[in-house]
Amino acid sequence: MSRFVVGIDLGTTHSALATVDTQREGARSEVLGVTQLTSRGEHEARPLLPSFVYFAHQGEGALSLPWDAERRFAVGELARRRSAEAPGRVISSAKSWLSHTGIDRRAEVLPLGAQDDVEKISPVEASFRYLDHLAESWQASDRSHPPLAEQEVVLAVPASFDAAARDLTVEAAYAAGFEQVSLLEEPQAALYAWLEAMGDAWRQELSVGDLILVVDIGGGTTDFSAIACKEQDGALSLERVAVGDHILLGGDNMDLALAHTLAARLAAPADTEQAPQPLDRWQLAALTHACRAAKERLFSEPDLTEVPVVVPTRGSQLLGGSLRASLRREDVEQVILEGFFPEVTRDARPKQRARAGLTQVGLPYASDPAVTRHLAAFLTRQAGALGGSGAGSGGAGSAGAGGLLRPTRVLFNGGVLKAPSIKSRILTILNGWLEAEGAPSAVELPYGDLDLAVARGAAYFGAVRRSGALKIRGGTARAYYVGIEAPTPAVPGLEPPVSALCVAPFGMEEGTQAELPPQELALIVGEPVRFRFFGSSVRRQDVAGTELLTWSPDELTELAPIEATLPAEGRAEGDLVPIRLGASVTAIGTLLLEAEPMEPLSPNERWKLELNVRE
Amino acid sequence: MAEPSLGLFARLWLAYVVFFKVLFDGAFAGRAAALTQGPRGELTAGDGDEGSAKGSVADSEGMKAGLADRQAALERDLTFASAALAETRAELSALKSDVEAGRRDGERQGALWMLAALQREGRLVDFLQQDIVSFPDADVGGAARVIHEGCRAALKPYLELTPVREEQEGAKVTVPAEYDAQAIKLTGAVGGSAPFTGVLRHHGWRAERLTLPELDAARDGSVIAPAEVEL
Repeated sequence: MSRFVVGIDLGTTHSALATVDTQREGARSEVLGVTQLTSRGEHEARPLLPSFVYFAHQGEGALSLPWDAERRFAVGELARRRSAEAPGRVISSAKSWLSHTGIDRRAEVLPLGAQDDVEKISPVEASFRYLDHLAESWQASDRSHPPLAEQEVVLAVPASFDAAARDLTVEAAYAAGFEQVSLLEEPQAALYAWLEAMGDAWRQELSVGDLILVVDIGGGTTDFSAIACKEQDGALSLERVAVGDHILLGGDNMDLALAHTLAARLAAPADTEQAPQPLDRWQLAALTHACRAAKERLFSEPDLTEVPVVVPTRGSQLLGGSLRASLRREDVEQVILEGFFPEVTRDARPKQRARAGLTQVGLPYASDPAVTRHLAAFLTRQAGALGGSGAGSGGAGSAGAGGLLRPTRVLFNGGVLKAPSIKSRILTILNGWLEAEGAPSAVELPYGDLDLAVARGAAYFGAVRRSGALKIRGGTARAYYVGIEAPTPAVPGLEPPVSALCVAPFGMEEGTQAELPPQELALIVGEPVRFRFFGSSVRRQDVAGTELLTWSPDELTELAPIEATLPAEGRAEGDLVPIRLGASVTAIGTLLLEAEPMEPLSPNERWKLELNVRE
Repeated sequence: MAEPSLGLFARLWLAYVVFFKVLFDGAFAGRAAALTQGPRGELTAGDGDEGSAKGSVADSEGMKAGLADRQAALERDLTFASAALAETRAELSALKSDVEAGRRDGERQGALWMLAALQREGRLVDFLQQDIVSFPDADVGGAARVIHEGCRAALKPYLELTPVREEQEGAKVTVPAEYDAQAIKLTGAVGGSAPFTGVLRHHGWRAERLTLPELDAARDGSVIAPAEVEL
């Protein structure tokens, strides 16, 4: 076993790395600074690595790092800075693209709107570059370190990542040479960080029947999970019982919303009478930055009523052309609290905006910015997460008559939730819902370092997993279904009806498998056969082989299609081969779908189904 | 003498190691001197041959000549050794001034870097270089916010400042006789004998911690802010 257990938070906007040195007695997780270029010709180690890649222009010369003098690209702070200055050469939010089911995630599409001379890379390769940079920096930080690739690495991924996005993350890690990788859901990692901070005292803090809601609002995504405290062999155990959908909504949206509010109000330069000019991109970036700082001050200093925000001129003459405005407390309350965390009732649902017929390829941002509506929808959809109607009904942490999952504890994670007023807003609204249900109020589980919790928690998880002392159970967060077309006569303009065959049930633990009973499934030798593929985060009762003829759109989400190709070896091309499907969850935590012929030519003959199909 | 020939880097390393061993290890220096001075080695060998050829018969003339030879050889050695010593001293002082120059250059680069960082984050140089007399206070105030916020952010990761004296400004403080004149400046009716009692007018600042990023050798520190050309 490797000396270090490493936890990596591969975030949408920032990444971080923490490690536990297992050779040290009682070692705790430590965050390791990541060496990165902070400006041209300057490098230093910082705890956070901004998840940005910048591609140097040909005339620009090398972007040297201590370990590579000839490098033509940069990852980290310099790249983040360049994203406002030269957006056509910078990749950002690669992780959101990695979970985008509407595109081929191995295709070279980033940076979006790239300059012609920029060699585009795929979302998978961008993730690889971040991981590779972490590995290089690890090696450079201490030459006596064994290579990161040989250490046990726990990669945190959003709980809402589907099987394909998890697969692609592992693919990026393999490309970076990592030999021992496993995946951990980010909200679980946040809880592990809390558990590490609490030490043994956590067993006094929580009791059987408690239900922990993890609210994780990062720079680009919002993620909900519910983790139940149960009793197992007389001891307290934890089980992740529900995860939310992938919501592309985060702190960056909030800062941008504030900037747009202020942009409309920014005065024209004082010494001229000209009308306000629309802000250029550089000014908007500067304004967003200033708004973020002003917002953080307003949130942390309750006595302030307003904070002046200044966008300086770009030229060397600082005075005279600056744009000034004030960010007022009511702006922040209006835009952030009312806009993103409105007080809604527990039956509120996110508004679906009708999609325009022709849309540019872009990220599927959440159409409703209200986090609280997404939360209400999550708690309602997952009301049955604790299973068994009756079981524990009326008690804490269960679904009541109103049909709401009832958390008793809330763990906050992600940079946005450093603001006490946002946390208290969420708690107030949640407790209002709980009160309406006649359920006891939920209490916050306090934790300090929200930026680094996921990396720390992932490292701690890796370390405690070795001893088997502590494990949040839960298995896969979705059930998976293959779409089977019914053999009906073709009618123009009418899609043949499709039934959904459950291939992998909800909650499959790592290292287990589910095999389908024989079905009328057949593959054509030598031809790729494509299946529609669905996931459900609510259908817990389906077993492998359950066939759904109808379902509500709320229950099943269509994912990117899957594909199987039967090699012609030993069989005649064009032959129809009856198969059955088997699903397993690997030790790494990825889903593996395999087709097994009913009459195998050799023992254990199987073909892997491709989860990430190239268009 | 089948000693292997060393490569350039091995030789550089050896020279470096030997230099310091010669300086600080008398015994080693003696051995090194013996190695470097072929004439003495040969002379000693010749001496031995001579002795065995002539047997035990004392030939005073021959002996005298031998002694004279020997003395001449020793004098040659002495001249050689003092020349080597002088050379080493010169090298050492050159090295010292190199180190000093490197340190000064590093300090210079660090100072320029800090200015660049304050400009980058807080536009400080722009502000200092602009003539602000004709601008109304509101404009200067607006600029001050940019500068204040940016420069604070620029310094925070690198510099930790703490007051030299913990007392409140305006409080009565006592300064002992053996005070650090660099850390405490006495003003007003300075005189009399310790301990000195007075009022703390300014608590002073001390850089508790200063870290700088690693700067590339190729980085041109004289560029405080690059010219920006938008395409």
